[in-house]
Amino acid sequence: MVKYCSYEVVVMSQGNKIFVDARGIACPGPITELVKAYRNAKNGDLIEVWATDAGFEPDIKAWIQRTGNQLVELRKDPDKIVAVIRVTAKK
Amino acid sequence: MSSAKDKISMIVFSGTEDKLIPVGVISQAAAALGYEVNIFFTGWAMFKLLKNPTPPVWPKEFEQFVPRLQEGMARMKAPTWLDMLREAKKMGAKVYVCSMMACAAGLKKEDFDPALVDDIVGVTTFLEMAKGGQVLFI
Repeated sequence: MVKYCSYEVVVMSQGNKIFVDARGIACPGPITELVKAYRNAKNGDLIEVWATDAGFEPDIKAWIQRTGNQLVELRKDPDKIVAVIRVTAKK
Repeated sequence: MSSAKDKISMIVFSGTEDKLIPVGVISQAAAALGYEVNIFFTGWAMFKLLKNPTPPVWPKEFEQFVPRLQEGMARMKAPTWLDMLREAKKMGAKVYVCSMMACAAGLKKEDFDPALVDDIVGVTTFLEMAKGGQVLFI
């Protein structure tokens, strides 16, 4: 299933920005792919997830509530849901 | 907030695809969220974990919806429930088979796919593992 998801890491001056393209993947794929990216992330990194699964919007909110990371942006484009997360809760 | 105590355990009895799909979905999601995940296969579901598993079966009463669901799953490129279970296992989920049912069916540990089954255990072991967490019977 991972072959449907792509990752891209952009190195920024302060932390990295990690793109996770989880479009076309059904629940629970997008959150799973986010978690995989999160495991390799550091505090200060940004993770941007693109998804098309209708459950992604409430699910990302639940994940944020659970993990205590910061939801910088949650936007519904005509063709996708975009969530930008700042990693703040890594121990 | 996440806590070290989050735990979900499933007793998977039904061997029909409609009930096995949510086992895959819940296992994968819970494992991704960092839950401790224990899955205890018994009854008809146990036969799905054999090296030579039984073919997919759907419940008769919903037969008319099956092609529609299968086409939809294919269109969504949804993984199979077994692929979701494998994904969950990669993230730490544990899969057990009921020793009593395995014995009743004449099955030994070597009959089960070692990539799927961690161990054959008794219900006492399962209850101890599940203690204090959420339990689902599917």
